[in-house]
Amino acid sequence: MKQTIFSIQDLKKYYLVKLGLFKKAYIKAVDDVNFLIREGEAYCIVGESGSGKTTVTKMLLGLELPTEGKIEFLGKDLSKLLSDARSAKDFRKNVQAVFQDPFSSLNPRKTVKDILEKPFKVHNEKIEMETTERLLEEVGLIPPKEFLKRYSHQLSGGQRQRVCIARALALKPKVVILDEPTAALDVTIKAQILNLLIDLKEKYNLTYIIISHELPLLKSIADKISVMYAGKIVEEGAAERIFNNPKHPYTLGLLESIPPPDPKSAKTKTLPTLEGEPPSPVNPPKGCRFHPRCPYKFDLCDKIEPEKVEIYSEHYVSCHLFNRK
Amino acid sequence: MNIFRRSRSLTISIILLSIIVFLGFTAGVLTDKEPLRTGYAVGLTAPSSQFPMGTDQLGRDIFSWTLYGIRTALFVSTISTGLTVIISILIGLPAGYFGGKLDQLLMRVTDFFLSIPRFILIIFAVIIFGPTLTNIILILSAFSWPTIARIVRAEVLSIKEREYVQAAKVLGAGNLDIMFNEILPNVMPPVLVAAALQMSDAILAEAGLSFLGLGDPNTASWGRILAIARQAIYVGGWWTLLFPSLFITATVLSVNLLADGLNDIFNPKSVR
Amino acid sequence: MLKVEGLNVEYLLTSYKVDAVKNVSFYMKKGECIALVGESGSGKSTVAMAIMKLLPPYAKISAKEIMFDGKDILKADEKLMSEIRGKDVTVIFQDPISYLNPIISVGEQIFEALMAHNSKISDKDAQVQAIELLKKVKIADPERVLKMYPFQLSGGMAQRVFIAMAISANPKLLIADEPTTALDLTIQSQILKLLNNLRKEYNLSIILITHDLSLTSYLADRIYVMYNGQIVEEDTAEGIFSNPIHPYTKMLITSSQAIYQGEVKRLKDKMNSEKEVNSKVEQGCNFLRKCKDSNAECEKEPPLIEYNGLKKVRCWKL
Repeated sequence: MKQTIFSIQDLKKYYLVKLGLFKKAYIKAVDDVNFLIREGEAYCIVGESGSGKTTVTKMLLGLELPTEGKIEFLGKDLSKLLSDARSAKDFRKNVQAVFQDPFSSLNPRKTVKDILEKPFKVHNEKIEMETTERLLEEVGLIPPKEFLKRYSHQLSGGQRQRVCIARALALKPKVVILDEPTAALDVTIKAQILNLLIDLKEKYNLTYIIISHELPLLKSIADKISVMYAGKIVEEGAAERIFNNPKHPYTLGLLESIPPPDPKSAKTKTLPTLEGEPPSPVNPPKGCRFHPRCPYKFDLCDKIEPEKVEIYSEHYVSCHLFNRK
Repeated sequence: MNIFRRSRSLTISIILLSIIVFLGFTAGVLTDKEPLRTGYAVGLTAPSSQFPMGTDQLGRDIFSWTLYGIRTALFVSTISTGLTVIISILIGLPAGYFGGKLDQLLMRVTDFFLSIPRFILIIFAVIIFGPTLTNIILILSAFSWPTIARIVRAEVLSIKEREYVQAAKVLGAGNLDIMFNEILPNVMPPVLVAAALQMSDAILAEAGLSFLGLGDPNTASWGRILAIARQAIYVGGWWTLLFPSLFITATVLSVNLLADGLNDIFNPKSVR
Repeated sequence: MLKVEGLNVEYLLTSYKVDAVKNVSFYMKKGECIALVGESGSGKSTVAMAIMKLLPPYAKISAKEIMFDGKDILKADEKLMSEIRGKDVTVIFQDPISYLNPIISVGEQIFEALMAHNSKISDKDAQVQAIELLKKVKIADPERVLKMYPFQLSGGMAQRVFIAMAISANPKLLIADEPTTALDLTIQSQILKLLNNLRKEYNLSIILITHDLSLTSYLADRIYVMYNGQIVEEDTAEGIFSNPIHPYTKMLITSSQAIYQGEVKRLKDKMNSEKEVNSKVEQGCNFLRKCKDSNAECEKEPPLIEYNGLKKVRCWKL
């Protein structure tokens, strides 16, 4: 069994919002989430905007504190790790991130060289002449000397994202968290960045946590997928099973709404859709949060919240359809 | 030069400012008369080859006074603006970055300073602490920082949410490092524009103080010539009003154009 | 219904100029949906905005011919243009929320749109028609939505409201500029379906502008692939997907199919690096710098040539 990198237990994040002068309410961004991430895995969290997937990553990175629940990194409590300066630095070295928007993730007043030297400066490590050049070669920016002196506005979207990946790899981390790494890129560039990520993962035995709303992209890279809906994980399992044999009606609907790039396929002609919109996180529906949109709902669904059921080994579904005892 | 082609205001302001600065620096060469010495002439004298801008009732040379006045105006305005910017950053940066209680406290203090009539307070402070050049500079900066501090804070609020700041946090960078190395350089463009406007404010404030007799009595200031002009103008001494006014207007105008030009360069989209 | 011949758009910036669109020609028939596909910066949106004459003043448009519904757009003055824009042609954008006025309720904005076409409309009729429109775009409780403000709408709802306003005047042509890019998957397919239904109901012609080829497979009859301001290939949707000829089109199709099938690793040309080519090619084929099998001939600019009588391709290697 491979080492467990992150273990997340009963994680909750509520935000207090003021509605008018006296009314207050909680936004339940993440509500009772559990999962494990193992070494060398590409663990993907899929969901639509507002599903809570970005909040989960912010908590994993220690940028936000959980309201309730526990995050363990290599068996140690994350909040304790971060409260001590030395162990915090160690955690930072091991867990790096690449963000969604390549336009705002590079400081516009710094050159690529400054940006790539920053990680070493922060951790008081020696920078050799070739270090930054090697990093650029690693992410396929060739010749590196040409790129070192540039500012971010002199790079294309794909090139910027490559610089972000190089920055994340600089300290040789164990885990890289990728928040929508290709969302803002053109199709051909998407494929290239995806390939780069796959190669780097194999080369350095990296663990990836990928957040995305673009389901098809994950097909090429994911080992495990968890599908989030309105702050909860509705289905979790091996990527192959999720794609080929989805169980939860939401996962099914999500997969169906991907238009295939082929005008002749039958699916293109009908384009099955899931009606309705995700619920407001302030006031989620009672029972199963998906029931107002679910084509298979029955009398239990709007009353009782479904429990997590393990239908195959390590494949969990939270849906009453699979819980008829 | 690309920058000058992008902004006509900047070009004009740089030309005007260089002329003014040049005149200020070479004042000692351009005239052999001392700015505040009396008795170069007997009584009010109209402009002539000997006194290009005439003299006042006590026979002081207006030409030399006006040229040395450039030094005072630029000295007071640059130093006080510099101090103002430093104070604004020291207050606005942590307020915006840390937010919460610290932000509340600092911003209430800022609001307090913004809500009182600034020039009246400056006058009182100069009366209390005495009209020396250092005091004037310190007092001007002490009462001018709130507007720029607010600009700094507002910019920090938007920039701290950018992903490169998040990325620096994820790298493990400390708060000071993030504030001064990642955020501050990106806050500077609008601050520099505001600083240029602040500079023209300071020039006018110094002239105003001197006009009211609250300037440093040992330095040549445009405001004091104007105070003299108040009486001289009734006996036909128009030159005492015209020349210092021209210089004040030209300097303030060129500094304002500088602000405009900086804005053009930092926000290229607003060009045309 | 729409015919564009030899359209050029130059952006005259203070210190340099950019050729955003170079010699673009296309046509469309009534009720047809054409797609302009290309990466960001390929000029696809500029083409659409040029037809509407909605470009900023520093853009210089020149063309041999732009005819819309029997009207000569090139010679049209501002008065005629605003008539055409309000009535015959409408646009929907990627981020509808920023195009809605944030301090006016959704209802008021729809009333305004209705009033613009029929100034004599009574308040009551406007209310009825607005609700009717919102039902058309499949908004569940139109009465409530009318009272809402734009910031209270989700992205999908805002796009529906925007579409409702767009169809309020019974337009002949709808320009959809990346209409679903900012939306989630399930909402994207809903909006695509909605557009298709409206098209059938109103016999609406649609110009779909997108970087995502897979969207066009559902909606578009014909596709124009753009690269660097030029059309590099045009064909029916089926023709583009089943028989791409231009190397850029090929790259687009293989990339999107590999992503869809989860086989990115098997892409022949993985392009794991971005080599910087220093020599700037001023002349010749647009795609030269990224093309794998270019030769000396490619340093001359290729024309758009008819191929097999079915499609047009801008490439020497036919």
